[in-house]
Amino acid sequence: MFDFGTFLVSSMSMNKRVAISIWNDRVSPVMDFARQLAVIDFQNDTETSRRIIDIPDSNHAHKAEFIKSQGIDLLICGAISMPLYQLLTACHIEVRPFIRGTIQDVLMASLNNDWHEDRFFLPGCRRNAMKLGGWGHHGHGRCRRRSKEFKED
Amino acid sequence: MTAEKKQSDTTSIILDSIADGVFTVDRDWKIMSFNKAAENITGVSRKEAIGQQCCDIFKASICESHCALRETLQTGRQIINKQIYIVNSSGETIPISISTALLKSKDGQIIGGVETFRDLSTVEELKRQLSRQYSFQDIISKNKQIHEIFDILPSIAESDSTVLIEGESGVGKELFARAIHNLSHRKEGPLVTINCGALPDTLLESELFGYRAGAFTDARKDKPGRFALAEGGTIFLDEIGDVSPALQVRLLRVLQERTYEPLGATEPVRADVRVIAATNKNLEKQIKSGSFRDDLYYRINVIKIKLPPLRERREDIPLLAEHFISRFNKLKHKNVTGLSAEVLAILMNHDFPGNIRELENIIEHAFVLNRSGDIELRDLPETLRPAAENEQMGIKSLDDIEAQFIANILRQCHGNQTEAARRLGMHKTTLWRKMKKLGLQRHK
Repeated sequence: MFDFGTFLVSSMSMNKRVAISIWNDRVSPVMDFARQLAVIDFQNDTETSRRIIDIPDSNHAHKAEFIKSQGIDLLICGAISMPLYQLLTACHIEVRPFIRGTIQDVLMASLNNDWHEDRFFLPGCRRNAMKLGGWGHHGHGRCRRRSKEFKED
Repeated sequence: MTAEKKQSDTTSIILDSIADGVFTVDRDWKIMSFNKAAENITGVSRKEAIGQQCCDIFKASICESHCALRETLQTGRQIINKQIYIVNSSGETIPISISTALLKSKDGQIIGGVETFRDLSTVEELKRQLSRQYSFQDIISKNKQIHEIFDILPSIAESDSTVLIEGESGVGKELFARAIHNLSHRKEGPLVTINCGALPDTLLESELFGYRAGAFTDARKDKPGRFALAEGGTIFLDEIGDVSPALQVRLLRVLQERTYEPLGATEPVRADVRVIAATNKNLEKQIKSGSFRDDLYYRINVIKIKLPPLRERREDIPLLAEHFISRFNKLKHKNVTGLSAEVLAILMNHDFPGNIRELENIIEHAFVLNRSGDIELRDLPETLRPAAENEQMGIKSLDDIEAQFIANILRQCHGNQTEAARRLGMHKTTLWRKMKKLGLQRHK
């Protein structure tokens, strides 16, 4: 189990539940075959909870149903097949696909809405990531990390 | 040029000339070499791949759980022709077969691993064509109405209730029936399809319920019907609106009592079968005209899915065309790259009375005439070409195509911008902005 620290953020436009598909403290390479999700709740300005949940080993529809049932607003993941992407977006889950990196880095980038560096995108996938991720339109706002404290393992 | 450099260049030419993807990794899982076929299959260029972690490039079903290269490096054992899936940079799932081996230095030290992989898309596509094993994952759409159906499909599948799928011919009713079956707890059971409109009444009855030996002159032995064949699974009754009133009574009994009697049988047989029915007719109208029983209608109309025709989900035309091009490229070993702007404009303005099946046929027709490059006007069927010749007048750019498309939708919506925006899958202010940019007058 890893600890991705406590974030204090401001300008959070609404309460959000963010999930990251994880594997060994990093974003899992393929969402379709990922086994775990890190789920982080933000309320007003603060991260209020975080936990790791197992993704059921099932078909796409059941995976999407499961993620929907967890009340996830935003899913950050690695590569994803179009059928699963379509199902998740049909469930009104915002998906940021083709992302890579450590959980800490990705969460920070998400909170600061700062994704300009290539290191956050799977090689050769940046264009598709931008296209499918709806960058700049549906993000959860530019968030500033109020606390400099960032605990790592 | 040193001998070593010369040898390395020769190796890379050899690697690039083979059809299988090949990459090598060092002991830290960083990619050291990546051939041309690997670029084509993964959609990642060599420049982008070199030096990266292999799981970020390969994106395979086994990266997290059963990495084949890891196993080879740990045990020294080769893995040969293991079938897995990768997700490429476009989000396509590609079936591949992989083989792995150790990579050793001149002095016999293990310096990494080598993985070769073969694209099995064509083989899998042919298998699926033969077995018609299309599933939910083959439904391609970004249409809101279809996405709403996606949203409820798993719940429908789990419910085990009878489903009625309504939609014009060629909209993909069978694909949705297969999707429901494959998502249900009956997925291990059979899915039996029967087109009720394709058989005369007497034949349809024996096809559905089967018969016992001696039931009629030629019935020498028992023949199980489709309901018996679908036991434990799902039966898909296509074109149910074409069933005669007499047979409607028998179907009603199956749905009410879950039993049926094969022809010539004296005892009823229990049926553990889920029924999915489909029609391209308006059954409510048929009830009013007396050609369809209202009690049967209420039995099959437990859950209704209404599939929109292609002309009401035009945003899917480019996606579907791309899908068919990719499929026919695999099946027919061609290299068609896409649609020319003119052809896209024609397709976007066509009404597709035959829906997705018609689009598929148009693309297949174009494949006969075209070997590579984009599909051009000359590759279209003749019926589309006169329209094509008229339509191409005045098309100069993508903006022209977009303007024509939006104007067409607005015309269909009688100038109602809210409705047009809904059909186009965009917000009405976006539509308004686009209309302003493209110089479109509000339709009166």
